[in-house]
Amino acid sequence: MAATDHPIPQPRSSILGRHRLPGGANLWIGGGVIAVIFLVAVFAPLLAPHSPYDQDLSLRLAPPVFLGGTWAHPLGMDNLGRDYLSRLIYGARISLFIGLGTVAISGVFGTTLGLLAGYYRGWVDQVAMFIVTVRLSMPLVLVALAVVGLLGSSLTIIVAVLASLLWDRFAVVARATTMQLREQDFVLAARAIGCSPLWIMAREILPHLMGSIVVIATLEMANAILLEAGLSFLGLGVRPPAASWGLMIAEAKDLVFFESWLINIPGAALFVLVMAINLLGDGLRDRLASAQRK
Amino acid sequence: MSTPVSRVLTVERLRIEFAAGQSRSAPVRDVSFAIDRAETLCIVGESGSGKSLTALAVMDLLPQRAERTAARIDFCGEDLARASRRRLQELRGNRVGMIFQDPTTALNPLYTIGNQLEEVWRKHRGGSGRDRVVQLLERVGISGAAERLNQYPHQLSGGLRQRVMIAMALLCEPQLVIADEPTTALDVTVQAQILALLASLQREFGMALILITHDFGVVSQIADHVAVMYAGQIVETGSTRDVLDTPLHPYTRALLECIPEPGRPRLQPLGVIPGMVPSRITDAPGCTFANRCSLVSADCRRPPVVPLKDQGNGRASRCILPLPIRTDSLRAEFSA
Repeated sequence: MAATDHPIPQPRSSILGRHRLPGGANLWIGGGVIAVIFLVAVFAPLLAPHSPYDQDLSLRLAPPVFLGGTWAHPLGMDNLGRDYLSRLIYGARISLFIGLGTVAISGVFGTTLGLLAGYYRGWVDQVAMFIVTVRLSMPLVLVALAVVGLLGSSLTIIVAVLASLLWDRFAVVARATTMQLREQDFVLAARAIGCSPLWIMAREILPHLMGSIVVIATLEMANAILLEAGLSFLGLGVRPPAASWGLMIAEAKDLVFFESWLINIPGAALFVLVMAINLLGDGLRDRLASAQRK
Repeated sequence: MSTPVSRVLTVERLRIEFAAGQSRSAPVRDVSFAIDRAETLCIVGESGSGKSLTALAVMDLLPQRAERTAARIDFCGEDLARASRRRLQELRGNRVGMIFQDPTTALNPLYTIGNQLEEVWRKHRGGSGRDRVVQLLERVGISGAAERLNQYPHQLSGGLRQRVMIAMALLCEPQLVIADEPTTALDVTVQAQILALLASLQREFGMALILITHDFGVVSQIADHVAVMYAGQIVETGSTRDVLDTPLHPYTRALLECIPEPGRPRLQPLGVIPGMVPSRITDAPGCTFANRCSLVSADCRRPPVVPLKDQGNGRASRCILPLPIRTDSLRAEFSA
């Protein structure tokens, strides 16, 4: 019942069959893959067979196991003779850090802005919408390039830049939903029992937004990870010798016609992570929507 | 002006305006009323007559684009028309309780009812007040109150939810309760129970009760005084018995003619008020009801706006005709 503003999802048949709850398969597959990548990132120093930085030039471009390599370096060695598996494992840290950090900052900022705009309307709304318009009129990659080019590229700067560029969806969705919710009787009832506007926003309205916020957060997290890879590929992201999946692709691009596995491996890792995040987002959306329908 | 000590609320010349681009409408104009301790005032009117806006305006709960002006909104000696936002927040839910029409939407679906009730107490009195909440829930007729606290609104029936809303409004023992069509969304049998509950709670707590309704059945059951609203104005006020027995204003009279009653001769048609409540109401000269009134004359449309004239005995009516109007002439009009 209630929460009438959310689309009511149709129960979806799950490929796992036994799960009756909507979003089951997506949720578990996406969540599972992310959990594995997260654990790998956290325990990278324990899991990585070698240092991601140590070079052994005699073994440079040694192929991975499935292309006839040895188990000493399961994913082979890059063109500077560094263990590719270890670099991949350390790269997961960067991707997750960028993804989570960006979404944490941009989510809080965008949601707050949207809540204020949707609740107060009037000039607050106009100012907020102007900021959103300004943000939307800036081309993401160009601005990121310019700022990183000017300020240099450290992890913090990249997170800050991405966070300042990826909050707009949070703001727009939070604003639209808040505008609908503030007309609901329970908001009026909350005012009638003496709740302050801030309290109403935080306690009465925000919980109703969480479903959509979480879904957007997953989308934007995938977005941020891809943007970081893009920046690193262009040489403006993570600095060598640190390992980032985008940087690994960049370093391998000259060899794409000769040793294509050098690009395929980090590319596949990126694909799996982004895919898993999106699956998780879909699953969460279905689950939250059905929980609210109760 | 001397006001009796038992006076709880005095509203004088309340006006609510909406500005939409160039055009303005004033769905509530020149509304004045007063209510004493332990008294029930019913504000009656059709949809769109401005009765709900009037109720919301008292505690400044109008939608943002509404502009409220009033000569005075005196609540227990305090002028609410000039009270600060913070002060109003302190009063709401604490000394003035509100009950809304639709209990299915007035409770937040994401919190248990115990949570929502205790929040009121925490806000105004501090502490969780769980004992008080349980006690009051039982008083409003919810059995097994302690277990109910952990239930969500969707787990309760409409009648139970309205009882929860009533408990929420009464939790801090307010001096005034404003109930906006509290029984409209409920079954007829539940309606009667809720009204009886409100009446008995009022006797117990001694609060003033403003009840907004369009149902004269409700009025006759519970009200001490009635204010009949039409198109944003109070057209008639008085004690319930006087107004129901000898209505002075043609509108009140026409409304009463529209009520089907048991024992009414089968072939006698029900009264009908031709036309509609004007949808965009502004200050018009003369009488706002003129276009639908069966007793209309040319004088009715002349300026100025017809004032609410005191008819003695605590009654007032907004009509230019010499009063009281003969009942028979009106009957004849309607059955013709």
